[in-house]
Amino acid sequence: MTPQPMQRLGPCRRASNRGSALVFALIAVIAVAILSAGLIQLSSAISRRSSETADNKSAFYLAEAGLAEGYRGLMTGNTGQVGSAAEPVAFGNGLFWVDATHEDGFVRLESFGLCNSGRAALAIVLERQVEGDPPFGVFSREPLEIRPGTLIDGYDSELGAYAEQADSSRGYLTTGANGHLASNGDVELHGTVADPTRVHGNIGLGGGGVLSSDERGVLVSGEVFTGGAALEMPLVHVPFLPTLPAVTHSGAMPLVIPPGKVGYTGIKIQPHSEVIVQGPATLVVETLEVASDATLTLDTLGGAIKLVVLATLNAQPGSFIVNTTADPKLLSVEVAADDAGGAPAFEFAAATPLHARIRAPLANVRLHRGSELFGLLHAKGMTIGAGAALHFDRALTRPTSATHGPRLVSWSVVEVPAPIAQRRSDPFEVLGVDRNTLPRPAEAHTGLWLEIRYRTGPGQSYIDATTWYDGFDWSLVYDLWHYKVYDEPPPVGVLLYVGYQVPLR
Amino acid sequence: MKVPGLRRNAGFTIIELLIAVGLFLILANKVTVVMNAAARFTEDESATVVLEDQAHRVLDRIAAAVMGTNGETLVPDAEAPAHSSQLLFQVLLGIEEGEAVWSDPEQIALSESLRKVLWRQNPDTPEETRVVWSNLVRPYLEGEVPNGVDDNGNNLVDENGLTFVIDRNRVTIQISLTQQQSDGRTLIRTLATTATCRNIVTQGGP
Repeated sequence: MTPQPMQRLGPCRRASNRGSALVFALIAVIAVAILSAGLIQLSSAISRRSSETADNKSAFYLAEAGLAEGYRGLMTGNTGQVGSAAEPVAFGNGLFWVDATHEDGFVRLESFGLCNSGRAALAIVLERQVEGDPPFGVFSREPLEIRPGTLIDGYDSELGAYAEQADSSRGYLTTGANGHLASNGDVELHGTVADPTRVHGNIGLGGGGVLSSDERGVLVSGEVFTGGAALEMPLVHVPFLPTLPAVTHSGAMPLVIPPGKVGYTGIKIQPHSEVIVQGPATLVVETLEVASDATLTLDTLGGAIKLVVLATLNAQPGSFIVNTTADPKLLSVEVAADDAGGAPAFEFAAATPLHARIRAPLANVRLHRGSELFGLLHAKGMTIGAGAALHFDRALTRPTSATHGPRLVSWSVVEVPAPIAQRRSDPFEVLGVDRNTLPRPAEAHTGLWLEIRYRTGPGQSYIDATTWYDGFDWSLVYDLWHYKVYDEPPPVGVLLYVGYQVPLR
Repeated sequence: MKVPGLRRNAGFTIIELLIAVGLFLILANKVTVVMNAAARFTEDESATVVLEDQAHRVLDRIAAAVMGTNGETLVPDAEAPAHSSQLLFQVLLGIEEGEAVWSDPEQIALSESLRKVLWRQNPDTPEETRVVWSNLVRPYLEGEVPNGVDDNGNNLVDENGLTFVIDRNRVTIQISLTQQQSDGRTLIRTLATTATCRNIVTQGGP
């Protein structure tokens, strides 16, 4: 057998192919890895941008929550300060704190919200309102004169209409109560046996005023309190509105002023003509004159109407001024004029009863013979004509957050402090605080000093507070008479009359 | 003498090569399709996020500006169906010694090219400062074409890609942003919000 030459089986070729798969595999793996890394980076960038937007929004809401908490603090006798940068409040996924600054009757709250990488800072300025309208149906800062045949009583529009609360058991229609009147000046009550003046309520005299009344023909069902302190009356706030030229309206077609805010140099309604103001509305007029047989309809069905008079309001005898809902809470007549001893800025002789809250802190008011008012009348000085009737709506002086709470005057976005804005990591780490040891919002308020005075009844003396800590008898409280806020313990001698000071810390 | 197996290692038949090449081409095609789809998806997602993020940021900035002002200072007063693509206002900076402190006049408006949102302080004065808040605005709001008809059913006619509707102290802001993709497609995102002026004080003070 001839041996076959040995064939080369190609070990060299095999050797050159060895590992080629690995190279291809490596290239494929690197390509996939690069692609994956790119995708992950992109995804992470997208996610980061989304979460940054969400975090900023959350921080904004936290700052808003801080403002709300600070406001609540002010309403409950605290300074408005909630926590601090050193000890913030943990809330939701983040934290907030509120810095409060008190100055000249204003409170500035700056709230800082931090959530993950989000940062926000907001500020509001609030004006303190320590007193609303005094709780009297009729109140004058200067002399008050009431002519014979006048009826003063009271009702509560939140319990129903006047007619539902009044009866004729005394021979004339009256509720027989709550017709409280007060003055910082002298009060003259006139009446005759045939034409008596009846005050179904108390009379309060402050600031040295003296009461003089006819011996016969004047009935005061309540008590007369003298020697009290002079009461303050809030001034009229005049809104800044675009002003239209004066209008003199006459003709059969009524002039309709639609809902909204508008000012007029003057409005004069001629006889047999009508002007309709549709609520909700704020109407600022320099002068308003309603002639005899003319009608001013204040349509409060759609909302409240505020009528601000800058100079004079004259409703002539036989004129008609109608509040369509007959609800005094929905019609406010504010006279901003300062008549400085001249003719009364507000003359009212309309043939129809007016349901309104009327305030004229710097002007005199004259209600003519037979006028009837449901609501409240507070003025610098006033003369109430014979046969007039004033029915005080107690609902108008009931304390509400709108009259006794702080009033918001400014809201703004402010800069976040640079050291906090620049570090976008975990806020607890940035501030160096332990989330688990931080207080809750309700526990983080800073208290203040309050001087509070309650009354035991309308016109009654103030409650002596010495029993506060020994078990205060709340059944004695008729209403809140006065409170004043101090950032620090008040100086000795600040109290003008019997009261008490309670530190809420 | 035949050595078993030697024949099989000698090479591939043309059939085998054709099948292998065919399979490779099919696989490469599939991979290309998948990669293209992934790239397109990624591009779309990325563009969508950019659009939404920018729209949110612009809306938040405008809303914050509106909240810081007073309804009475807003110009123009454009109740629906009236609308505007610009807003002139002043922001209340705070109260100092009982007096309201207002910012210089500010304006947020669509540029003349209808593509940019511009914030301008002291507009049309030598002291004017301007910042571009977005450059992706659509000339007209999504679904709207300039034909004198309300095409998108929002009670507004021919409204621009940035539109303000003012109702007393409440401003509704609508914005449509758009971006063209590499393959010629156009992505659009539309967002809207309503902001209320939080300040009640007027130019005269609190």
